[in-house]
Amino acid sequence: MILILSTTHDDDTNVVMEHLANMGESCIRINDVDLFNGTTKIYYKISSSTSLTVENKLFGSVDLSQVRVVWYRKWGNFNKYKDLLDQNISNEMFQYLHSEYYGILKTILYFLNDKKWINHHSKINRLNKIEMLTIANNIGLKIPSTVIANNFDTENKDWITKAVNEGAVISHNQKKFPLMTVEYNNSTVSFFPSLFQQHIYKEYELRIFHLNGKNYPMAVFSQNDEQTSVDFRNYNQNKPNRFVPYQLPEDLNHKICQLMKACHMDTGSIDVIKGVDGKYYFLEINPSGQFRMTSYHCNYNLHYEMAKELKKMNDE
Amino acid sequence: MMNKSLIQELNPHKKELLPVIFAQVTENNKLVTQSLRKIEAKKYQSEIFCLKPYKDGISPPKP
Repeated sequence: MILILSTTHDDDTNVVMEHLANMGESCIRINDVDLFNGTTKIYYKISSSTSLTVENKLFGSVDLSQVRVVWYRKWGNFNKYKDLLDQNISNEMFQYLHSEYYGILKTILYFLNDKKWINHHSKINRLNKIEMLTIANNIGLKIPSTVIANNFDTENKDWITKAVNEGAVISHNQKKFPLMTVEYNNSTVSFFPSLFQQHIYKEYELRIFHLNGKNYPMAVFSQNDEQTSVDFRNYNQNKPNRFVPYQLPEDLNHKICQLMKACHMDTGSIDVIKGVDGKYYFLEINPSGQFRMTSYHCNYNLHYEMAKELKKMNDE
Repeated sequence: MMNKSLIQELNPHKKELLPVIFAQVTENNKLVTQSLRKIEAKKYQSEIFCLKPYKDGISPPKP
């Protein structure tokens, strides 16, 4: 049996499940938030013969010892749970719930430790942006100059700032503030330590989906639109960027495979910039990024490839 | 008029307690999620966003 650890409304999971159903593969999906809102029941008995059963009206009751393969797709979105809570909870209660939420998810991951995984949780959860950049640099991939500081004078060079961990959209006074990649203007005061990177002026950027040793690259022409030139995720819906399939130079293709191996990642989406200086700059890997954009624009049929991989592992 | 940055909106007593990105980022309402229909779909074992009305033969929610 295949287990997909996902979240509600993840369309990549939906499409892979369609392919698995067409292949006749037995598969269940556990959404993170469903364990906390009463949708999915859990019974985890710790004894000499530990057992973990989950039950849900959509897939019935399943003993998770039957699982052979786990796809660690996108699991642990605390915000979806937080949105269900009363707005007026105290900070202490919030911190307690946050800690318990991840504590519960970790116990389930622990139970599944010895299964076959696509992206083993223990490898994915310990990696951070700086470690990835360091590994990439050691492999020979070019990276932008990167600094973490709480007081930073840029000496007139162009720099951007972004989250050390993960970007987010913050709501305040019913306004939304996307904390993605933004240009940095010198600050005169000290601040909470932040990540800075040299602003690479790009010819175009690459979004590369990787699955078990194979790269599926897409070029994004985002540089000529002011809205998308720093971060293409500031999508311009009126005049979308152009997305086309791309052939990587052999050396870059090889190094990205090496990087994924060194990071112990079976799958992920890699961000690379082709600078106006003609060089390729590695930015980061997102192990659970959306890949339908890469699949549909470039006709890569990635959901089918993922389903085939899961089936192969389940049959072995 | 220029949109205020997040730090201007928050107007904290001690700006140094916050990351510098708070001073750089401004409101962007283009990111507001479109109103999509949510339904439970057995096929996907999940609540899903329904992108189009009655896509793929999924039954509409009961009134």
